[in-house]
Amino acid sequence: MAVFLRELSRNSKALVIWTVVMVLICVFLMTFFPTVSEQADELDQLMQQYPEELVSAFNMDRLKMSDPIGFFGTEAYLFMTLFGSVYAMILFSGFLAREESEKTVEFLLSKPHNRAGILTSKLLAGVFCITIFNAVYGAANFILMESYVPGEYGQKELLLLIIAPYIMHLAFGFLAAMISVFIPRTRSVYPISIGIVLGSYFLSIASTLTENGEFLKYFSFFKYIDAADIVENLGFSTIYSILFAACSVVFIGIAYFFYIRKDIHA
Amino acid sequence: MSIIKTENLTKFYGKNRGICDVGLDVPKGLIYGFIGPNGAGKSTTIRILLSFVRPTSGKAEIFGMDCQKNGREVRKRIGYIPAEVNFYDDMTVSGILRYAGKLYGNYNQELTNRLCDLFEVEKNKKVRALSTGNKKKIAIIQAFMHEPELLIMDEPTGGLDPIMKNNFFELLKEEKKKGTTIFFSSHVLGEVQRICDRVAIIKEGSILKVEDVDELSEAKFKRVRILFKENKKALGFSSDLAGEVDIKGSMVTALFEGDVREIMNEILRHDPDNVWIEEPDLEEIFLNYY
Repeated sequence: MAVFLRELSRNSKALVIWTVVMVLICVFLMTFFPTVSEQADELDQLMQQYPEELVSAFNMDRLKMSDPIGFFGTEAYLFMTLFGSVYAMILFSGFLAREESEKTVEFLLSKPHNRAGILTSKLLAGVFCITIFNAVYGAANFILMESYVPGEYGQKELLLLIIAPYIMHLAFGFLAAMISVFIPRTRSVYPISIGIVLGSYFLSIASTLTENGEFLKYFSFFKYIDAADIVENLGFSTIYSILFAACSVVFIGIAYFFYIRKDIHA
Repeated sequence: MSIIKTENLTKFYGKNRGICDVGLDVPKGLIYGFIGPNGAGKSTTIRILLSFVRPTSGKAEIFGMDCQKNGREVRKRIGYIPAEVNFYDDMTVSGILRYAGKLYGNYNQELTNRLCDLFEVEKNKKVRALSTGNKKKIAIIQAFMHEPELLIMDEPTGGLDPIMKNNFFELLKEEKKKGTTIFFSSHVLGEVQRICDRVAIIKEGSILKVEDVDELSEAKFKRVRILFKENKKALGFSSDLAGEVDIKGSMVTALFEGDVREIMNEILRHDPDNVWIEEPDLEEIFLNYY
């Protein structure tokens, strides 16, 4: 419990900043919705001038900007998936990497706690922070949607589009925790983490742009929670859900296996 | 009863030697010095005892329990002072002590306060504002606060001023009276001589000698200065009983190992003009092994 509370306290400032920034982005984006909605025809014409693949890559062929959920799915959703994943990676990779980089790990490991327990406390602190981050973001978006679109706007779709990034953030977080077991220096692990998120995002775009690259979708978490797919099917794809769960279990399993056994150097 | 026991303890970092076949037997209630120069393997041994690193082979036990398998149980009863102290920069001194206390689960608040007074610690200061010496004081307090049965110390006095060093040594004496076992790793030999009952000398990863400090410094070694009538005789001086020989003019200085009669006979064989026999300090004995 002590390690869990310590991590919450240590990461609380960053959590507040990331959450406030994400909510402000959503507020800012939603102020455009009434204008975008009114100019739906002009926007459609504008979209037709872009290459089909590009429009498809950003889901603008299946999600309409004039529709509240379509607007959310192409705008706020993109920011939340991308920035939220960067936050999750930085947060989770920092748990172990900061202890080793700042050489506080000896202080911690000389106390009567086993490494599995320490890692569990740190991962739980990460899950807690990501949950708060997504919950506040989700609540803010429901409030925004209620204020801008009174009545029926697709509450279930919005809920699904709020849950989906949460699952992805956790998967990225577990990946980051695993990486930080092997690269325990913040100077190295942070750029690698951000690079993985951006790489994964561009992989999802690439998988849409070319037919040959379709198989790439399995290597990008962003494709697992494609907003248009979720809205069309009113749910998550079974295969992607299994992949998310499997990846998370593998990442966590590898992190535990190697962290328990690794040598901690001065 | 052995508090620390290692057998054939070996650690290789890839192809690089850490320690090789280290065997230690630290009895209860002793202040046990562990000396050797930088890179000899002192810290590697300590890191295995605290299960920071896993041994390549061999056995390490504390309180009769395997250090790796029962690490949590073992560390409950250990206080550790590292050579290089690092705490969380964003915390205050009292925050660090509270956190350490929570990690131990149980600690003596009264003792902690007494130690804070003894070491003149400013509890409200942020860790990032502390000097090396002040950080060391916090490391000492957090190692003692849960009244451990074994204290493992890696260069514990680094950064402390002479008054605080003195306070620290008084504290060690108090702990010894209580029956606490102290494993004291250092290369400050004067401190080891002052405080330790027994000493293990480690060289290039292997234990070279284990001896009671009194025996090591008094019984077996003598610093001998021999004056010859002629420089030529001094220059030609050599003896199997002597370590490194220092020759200045007609004066020869060397550390001899062996029985005093044996040493005297050996010296007289060289027909000296005058002889001075003195007790060496631990530093000289230590250097003799290197």
